[in-house]
Amino acid sequence: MEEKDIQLLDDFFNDLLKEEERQAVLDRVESDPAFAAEFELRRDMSDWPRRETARKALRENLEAIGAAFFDEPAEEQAPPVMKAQVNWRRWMLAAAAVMLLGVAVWFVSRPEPSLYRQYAHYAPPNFTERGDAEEAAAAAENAFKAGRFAESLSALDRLLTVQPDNLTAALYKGICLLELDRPVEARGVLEPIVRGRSALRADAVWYSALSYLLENKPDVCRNALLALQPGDDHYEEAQQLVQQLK
Amino acid sequence: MHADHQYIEALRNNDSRGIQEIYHRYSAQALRWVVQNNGTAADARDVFQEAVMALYEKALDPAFVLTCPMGAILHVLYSRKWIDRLRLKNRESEVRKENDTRYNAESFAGDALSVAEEALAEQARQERLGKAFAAISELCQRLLTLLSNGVKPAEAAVQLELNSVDTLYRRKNACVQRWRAVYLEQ
Repeated sequence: MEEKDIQLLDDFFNDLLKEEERQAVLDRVESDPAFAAEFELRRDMSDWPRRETARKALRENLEAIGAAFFDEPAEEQAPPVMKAQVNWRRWMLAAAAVMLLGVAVWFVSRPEPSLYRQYAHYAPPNFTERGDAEEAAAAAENAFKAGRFAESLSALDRLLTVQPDNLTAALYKGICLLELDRPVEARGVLEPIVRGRSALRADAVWYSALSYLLENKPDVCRNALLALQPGDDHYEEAQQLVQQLK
Repeated sequence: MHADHQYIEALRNNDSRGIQEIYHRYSAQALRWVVQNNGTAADARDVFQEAVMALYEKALDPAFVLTCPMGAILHVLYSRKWIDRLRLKNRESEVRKENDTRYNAESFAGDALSVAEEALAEQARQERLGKAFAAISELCQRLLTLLSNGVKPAEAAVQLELNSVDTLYRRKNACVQRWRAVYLEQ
């Protein structure tokens, strides 16, 4: 780096250049890689003290927040509270234990396809819709909780007529269809959620994959499960199931 | 843009509510992974925090948009941080074992892996700048910090008891050259 370029960058970052001179520097950054590298370093240096102040503030915040999470065993941590569907997952965890008894009975009476039942544990939905959809949402929720999936499906269809973009209702419609042994239709309902980027995507991938167990297609199920990544809901269950399906 | 991009915004803004959600959502998995790989809860807390800090460096790029699950990126980051710690402690047998885990775990990652690597590289670069900054004079550190935080040159000159703004600029340019030299010598 020549002395004149060092002086030029000093003046640039001291905001001492005229507008056309500033633009000439920026143009040269685009065309001269060595100059661009030096410019980037000087920009980072110019920003570093300010960013260090922000870094320290963030680190302090992380330390304060982190203390509440890593001082207790993983099993005892509070569940996420971010969005409405998270409450469902809290229900799911509680319901999983209750479902175990039903699973045992089911295993005795219907051995195939057992893996679907082993992994398809979910909680009653908790719709909180209001207005025109309120009746349909309540009916769907109550019927689902009682295991009356055909009735819940009917109510969900009514709800989706009023609220076609209600992804939560669509997800539970897919689950109802699975419970009614209609896996192809279930996948049709779940597919748009699987292809989307909503917070329910992982749930949809999971139940869509489980649908193949109902059709005794373990290879397809396994491939579908591979769409779940670490950090996604159901990822760890999916890894266990993938191992069982090998 | 992935739905998890909201967490990138939370980091950019040091938004406590959003950061709590990051911990709610991903800390349990980090705790399990580190403990399963011969670490403690305290280790997990440290490497998870360092992973978030690394991602913050990436988030400081205003053009960065998250296009993959944040959990996958954090998994790569905290697992690498933990492997590096084992290596520093010369627990070689565990390092070898963890390397196996590392590559198996990362085979899925795709975009997450490249974002994580960029975040780690940027974090390392910023740490080098920080070490070099710590090696320059206290006056230089004060001067550069004042100007970086938006204090006007005339006011900074008064605070630093310098005769004029011209003197301030000359001193600043010398400080920058010293900082740069130390950085490049590392």
